[in-house]
Amino acid sequence: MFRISSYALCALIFCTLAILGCSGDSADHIERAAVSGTVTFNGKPLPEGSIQFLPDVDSSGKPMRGKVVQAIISEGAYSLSVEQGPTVGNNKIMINASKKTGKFQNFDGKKTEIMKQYIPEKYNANTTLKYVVKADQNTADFTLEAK
Amino acid sequence: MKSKILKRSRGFTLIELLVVIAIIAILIALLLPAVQQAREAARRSTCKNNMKQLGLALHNYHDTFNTFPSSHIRGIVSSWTTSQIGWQARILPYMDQAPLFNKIDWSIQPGNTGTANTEAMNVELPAYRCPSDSGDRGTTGQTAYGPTNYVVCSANTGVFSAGGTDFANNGRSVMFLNSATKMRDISDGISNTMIASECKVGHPYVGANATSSTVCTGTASVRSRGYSWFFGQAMMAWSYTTLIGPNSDLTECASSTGGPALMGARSAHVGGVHVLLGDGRIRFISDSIHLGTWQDLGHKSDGNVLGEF
Repeated sequence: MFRISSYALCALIFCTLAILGCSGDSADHIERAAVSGTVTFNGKPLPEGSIQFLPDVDSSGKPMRGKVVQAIISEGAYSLSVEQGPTVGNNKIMINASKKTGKFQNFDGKKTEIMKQYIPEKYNANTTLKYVVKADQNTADFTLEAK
Repeated sequence: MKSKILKRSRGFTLIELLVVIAIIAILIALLLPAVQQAREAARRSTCKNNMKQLGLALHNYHDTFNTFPSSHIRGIVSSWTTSQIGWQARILPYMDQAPLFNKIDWSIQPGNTGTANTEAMNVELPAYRCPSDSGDRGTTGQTAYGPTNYVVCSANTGVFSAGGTDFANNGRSVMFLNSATKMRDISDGISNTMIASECKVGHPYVGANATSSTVCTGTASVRSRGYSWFFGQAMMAWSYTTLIGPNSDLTECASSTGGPALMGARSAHVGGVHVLLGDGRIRFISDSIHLGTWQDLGHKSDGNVLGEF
């Protein structure tokens, strides 16, 4: 009886070690968080646009790893779930919105309307907006002014 | 009597048998995913080898002509009366494809017309395809062209031809429209600058210019990404920008008018893309690379110190 249980014990230990050894998460893990909020432009909710979260540098000045994520702004509100959310830590924010120009361009025989950006550059191309994303749930509201 | 008991204890008990079966089952369960992994690993290393060949071919081209090839050549941007034949056609002799190279008529304008060239551009070269990518000419809808998975870096700009006589993308990347970059010009160092990466054949994009540097508006419905190794008409065939990171979640777009376009490096491999560096080295770069580092890597002379990546 003793001999059998020691066999079983050995097998159990071996299998546990094998499973632990083979199932370890080797990929670099990036912690993401859910975020939602509102965006106003000149005091009114931004009707249509997009907001991007770009991982910035961490507290020691090292570039942070993580993907750039984008949410669509509709009637001044946006939200991102944890799976699609921004990287936890310092993020730069870029907010874009464009309107129709009435001009068209040809592409493969199809006509597409040319759109023009109307949000100032300090909120997108040369952004000064920053937000620190915390773990789990975030509420990030942004107030933009044309001047 | 005593010998009889000894004989009986030599057999297996039920528990011993179950333990053995359990061990075998666990070992098989461990092995099966590993076999699937091995297939993808093999495809990935074939893909990596293809890029290595591209790197060697580019170096041999540089040895012969003292410059890297242009991504493609165009005359006046608004006109189509230049060959527009891409870089992958120019390096064919160094890819062991001299007969195909000799077939190409370089004087036809644009190069995708004329019997000789329609025959050449129809050829699908395994050396220009990543085996992990399932996209083909059926996906792109451009059935007259052999597709490609390998595209050159355009650095952090989506403008591939600015209009008028200004062709270059400000000379930020190694290869661009009408470029003649020498290794000397890569002042960041050839081991710190990327030349090429991958694209996913048939990845959908919006058929219009970008509305701002990193935003495309509209539905991604055009699928001609990577449709031809031969014809470098516009960005979807030959290039990617570092404005967006590898395998980005953002919507891509391009038009045939010269930009600004937004098209990133993308691969069928999970977690990242292969990148060909100037010294011929291939690196697998993670999707989560810092965007700034990715842009420094794509720019040949920005003077920035490249961080860890």
